[in-house]
Amino acid sequence: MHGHHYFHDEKPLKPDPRLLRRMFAYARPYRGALLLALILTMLVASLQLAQPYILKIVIDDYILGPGELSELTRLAITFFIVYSVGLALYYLQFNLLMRTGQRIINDIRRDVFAHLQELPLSYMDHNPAGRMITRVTNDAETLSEMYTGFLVDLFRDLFILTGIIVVMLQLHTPLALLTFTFIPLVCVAIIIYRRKAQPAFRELRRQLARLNTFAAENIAGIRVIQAFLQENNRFNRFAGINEEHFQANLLELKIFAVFRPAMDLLRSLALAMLLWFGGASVLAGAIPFGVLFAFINYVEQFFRPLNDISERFSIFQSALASAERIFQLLDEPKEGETVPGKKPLHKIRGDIDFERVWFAYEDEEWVLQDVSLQIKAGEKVAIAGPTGAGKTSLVNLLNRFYTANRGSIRLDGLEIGELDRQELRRQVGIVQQDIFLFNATVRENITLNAVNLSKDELEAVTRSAGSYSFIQELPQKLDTPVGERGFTLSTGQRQLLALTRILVFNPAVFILDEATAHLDAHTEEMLQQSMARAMHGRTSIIIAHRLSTLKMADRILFLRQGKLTQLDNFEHLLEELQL
Amino acid sequence: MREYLTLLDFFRRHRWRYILGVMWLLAVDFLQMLIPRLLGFFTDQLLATPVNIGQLRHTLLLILAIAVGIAFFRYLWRLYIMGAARILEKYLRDRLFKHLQQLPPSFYLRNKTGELMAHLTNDINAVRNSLGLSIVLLVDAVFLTAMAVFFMFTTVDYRLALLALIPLPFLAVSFQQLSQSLYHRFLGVQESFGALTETAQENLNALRLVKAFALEDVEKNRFARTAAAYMESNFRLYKIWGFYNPLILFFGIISFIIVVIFGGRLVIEGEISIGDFVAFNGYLTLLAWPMMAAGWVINFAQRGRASMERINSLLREETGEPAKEPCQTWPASTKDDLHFSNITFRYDGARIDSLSELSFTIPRGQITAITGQIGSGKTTVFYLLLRFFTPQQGEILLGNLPLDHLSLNLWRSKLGYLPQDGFIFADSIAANISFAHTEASQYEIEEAASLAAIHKEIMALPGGYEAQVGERGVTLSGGQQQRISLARALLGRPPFLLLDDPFSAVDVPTEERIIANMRSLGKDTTILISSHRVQTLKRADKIIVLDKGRLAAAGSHDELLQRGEESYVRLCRQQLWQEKLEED
Ligand SMILES: Nc1ncnc2c1ncn2[C@@H]1O[C@H](COP(=O)(O)OP(=O)(O)OP(=O)(O)O)[C@@H](O)[C@H]1O
Ligand SMILES: Nc1ncnc2c1ncn2[C@@H]1O[C@H](COP(=O)(O)OP(=O)(O)OP(=O)(O)O)[C@@H](O)[C@H]1O
Ligand SMILES: [Mg+2]
Ligand SMILES: [Mg+2]
Repeated sequence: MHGHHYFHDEKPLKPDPRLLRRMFAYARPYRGALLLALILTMLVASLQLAQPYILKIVIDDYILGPGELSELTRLAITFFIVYSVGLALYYLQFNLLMRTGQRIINDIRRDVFAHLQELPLSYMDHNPAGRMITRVTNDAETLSEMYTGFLVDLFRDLFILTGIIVVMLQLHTPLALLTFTFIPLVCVAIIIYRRKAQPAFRELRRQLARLNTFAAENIAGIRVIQAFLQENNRFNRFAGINEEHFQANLLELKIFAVFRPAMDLLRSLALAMLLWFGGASVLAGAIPFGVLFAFINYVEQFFRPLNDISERFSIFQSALASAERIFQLLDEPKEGETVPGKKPLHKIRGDIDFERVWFAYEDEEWVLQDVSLQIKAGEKVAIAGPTGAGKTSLVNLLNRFYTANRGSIRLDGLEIGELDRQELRRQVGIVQQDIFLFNATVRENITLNAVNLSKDELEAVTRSAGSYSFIQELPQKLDTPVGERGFTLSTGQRQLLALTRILVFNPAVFILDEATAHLDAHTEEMLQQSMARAMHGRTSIIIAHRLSTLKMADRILFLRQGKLTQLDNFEHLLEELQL
Repeated sequence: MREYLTLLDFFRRHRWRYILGVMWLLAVDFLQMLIPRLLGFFTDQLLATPVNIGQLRHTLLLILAIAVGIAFFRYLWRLYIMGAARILEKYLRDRLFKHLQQLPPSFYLRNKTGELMAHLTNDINAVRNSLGLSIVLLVDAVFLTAMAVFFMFTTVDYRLALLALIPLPFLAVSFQQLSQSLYHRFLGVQESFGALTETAQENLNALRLVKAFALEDVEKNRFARTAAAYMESNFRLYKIWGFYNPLILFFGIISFIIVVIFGGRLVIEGEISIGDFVAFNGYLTLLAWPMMAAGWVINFAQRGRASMERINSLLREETGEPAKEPCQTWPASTKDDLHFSNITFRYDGARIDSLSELSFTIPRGQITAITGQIGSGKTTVFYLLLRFFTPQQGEILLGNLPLDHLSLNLWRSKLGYLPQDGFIFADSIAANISFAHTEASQYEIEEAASLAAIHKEIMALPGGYEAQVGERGVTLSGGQQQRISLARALLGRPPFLLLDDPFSAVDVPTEERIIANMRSLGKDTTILISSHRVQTLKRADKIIVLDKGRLAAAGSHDELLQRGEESYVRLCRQQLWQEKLEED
């Protein structure tokens, strides 16, 4: 199968030495909250540690000692109250920590999303949407456990570890040092685990993205799949990816299933060694038995946080794998990074000038060759030509969807590369060849939530675009949801909404890329009148195959295999078309 | 927990995995109980006089051996139980995907892509987690609780044990209370995660529009709102979830206080020894961990339940196949015409009929064109022919045979379909053309491409037929996408070609070539083409004109013009002037 190689394969992930630092950077704004959570954690932990101590008091002072029983009750109740307050703190700590984790993730998510908005289309062409969606959703989600389940606990555990180490050293230095010989072993185990698990986790995340990508495409193309009876074939391909995902999953599981018991085994070894050498010391009279007993307890305690850490290590690894993917995306260069000194654009007149423009999507596969074109402000120019000639590509250069390889494109005499990108696009309005509607109401699709229009204005604009009458027949008129990609409307109706949209936005330059291809002649005829009014005195570029549409223009250009020729009259055009 | 019944089949199939897994787990638990005992032996042996070194060494080796055993069984249960959960993940994802594939288009009109994606990943994940670690925790909890309670009752004092366990029922009741609202909040979280996925996915699909209208900030705000909603739903969850551990500790401390006060009195009164008192407290602390585990189990289980329910609601959706016993063999009368007989159809939730009382005939072996203003029901006619939807009234007949008496697969295998907005998969061009006939030879692929007048252009592309195209064909021009979709429909020479506006993005000369090619397919192919273009209509044997879902006129181009059918003339008038030009 050659199916999967279209997309630029994901770049191999380079180990990013700054990864952890970058992850911590997102936690920085919340360091206050995290610190507070840590303090609360320790408070609660110390309360729990106090319990045995209370027991000691009870035994020594009351049961064996002279203490009054009523005193005992009072002590118990006091402890109960203090402890309850501690539990309230525990509740707060949990909420604080988890919320902070979510906040951090939310920040990351928003950054990733914002970055996606700024990526160039050439990147989008080669990276499936499902992959990027996975970054925003599942990958970010995995990261959240890093901050909640790992960060604070790590600090707590390290804190406890340090405490135990200090106590052990004070108790009996040689025995303590003996115990510590296991620390390097633990480190080695962790390093080996990391080395083995990391590729598995990376693979897992990659396969997840593929699953998402495949599912998304499948859902979008379901009608084609069903019409062509490809349900089984598609399922088999999906199951194939799912199987690869499963294998990665299993590999990761196996690695962890060895690692975790290995840590336990290390603890037991430490214990045995301690018993052996400690026992010998006891027999030699070098240490009292109590010290050995304490050490046995401490070894348990020493390994508990270590075990905690290692239990969470798979979470940590998984988060790292997600983080790599997220930061890799954030490192993708944005489209035309805003350079300081970008010229703001005032209301433009609409002089367009293509000068010897060459353009290729892929290195030397020229789509446009030496195209020169001058359009005076207010002029209406049509571009005709066989399919695949490069018409869409030509206009996509004007609003900087792509960048020309050679030559220059100027708007009102200004190099477009030096203009503010968003401002440029706001003024150069385009009705694109493939129509997109949001899964929102008709109204939202016309205004795109970016323009406020009164009821009357909306009526006027829909009337002039010719969409008024069909909107009136929808169940909730302007407030009818149109379904995903506008699927509850007919294609022509969708196109009319796209045309209505540009009338609402009223840009200085109009580009209509096959914008009437799905309209019937009657509808088009009515539309042309209002379009003619809207285009009056406005620079317009009309791309069409239909002669009836081309007729609207002052001048018709002919594009063939990336080369532009000027036509003087329709006879010429017809000749060209008949070629 | 009814929700999990869906998985019964899976559990049956993998019951040994779970049974063995639980056994390994119990083995670990059991061995772990031995270690303290052995440590006790060791102590006694160490403090004994004279010391028997051999015995000491023996005990030590036993401890080590047990440790190795524990490690080994740990490895095994992880592999068995957690492995089963991962198999489950795969199984459920396959099953859900397969099911989704069978659902009719009406389902996809109601459900959003992003949300379905969230079901396939996030929800399945939650179900998996609820059936992996939580089983381990559950077994642990039950085992340790049983042990602790057993020792409390048998070795110390049953009165004290009863008193100490008073808080337990209260804990159970509060767990019960909490878990219900936990369930609902998890449901909320999973739903808003779906919404989040949906927003991201829609945005990425809309990116060209977003850029063209400089909507980046609008979109960022929209996303920020869904992301915030997701965050809030998590906050709501934490408010409940956060109660679990404090609650367990709270009831634990009550037990502790009871033990201190009453146990203390019992010791003083000489009813129990100090050793008993200390041991009892030991057991009590032993209980804390399984209770915590129970809290986690509930948490996992509720999340899993919520997700399972979401998945179940998809699995409950009816697949499109009709119940009646359909005909599985292609009827002999294959030379029959297709008839629309008095069809009325309205989409779910629409206010008006999209087709009303529509009757017409599509003659066999001819080219029939269908035209009409936008929204007049052309595409709907195609959908009914494809049996994507079922009309509320009337039927479609193949000769005398109602179409729905044929099995769906049999009927669709006779169709070549070009959707109005063509749909190209992110795959190679060859794979797109041979989509329905994966076994097609290169020759057949090129033949289909030549019929669709795209062969030369494909050859000119870098990579030719093996050139990989982007999602939805973004790296192709509009007309290229359309013609590749057309080639896909033509490959295999299906007897019925349903072409919904196949030339909207194609220039006129190319269109003429394609129509001439299709004519050459001969009398075995019935073609239905919808179009707005006069050039296309003119070349059809028969034209059906729709007006708001009703039949307005039918006949050939010349007939219709001669009769001066208003509905048709109106659709042609503007385009007819160019014919005059051509004639000049
Ligand atoms: N994003 C892209 N990446 C790579 N190649 C592309 C991309 N978009 C278009 N092309 C190629 O560039 C050429 C010109 O495409 P373009 O869309 O500009 O044609 P067009 O004149 O608009 O055709 P149509 O009338 O069919 O819409 C085609 O060969 C096409 O395959
Ligand atoms: N899923 C749907 N739910 C509700 N109404 C729908 C749905 N799909 C289509 N419609 C409505 O049914 C009518 C017929 O739509 P259809 O797509 O068949 O039109 P058409 O003739 O193909 O138009 P066009 O020329 O624009 O493609 C339209 O009014 C449309 O709004
Ligand atoms: Mg184009
Ligand atoms: Mg249609």
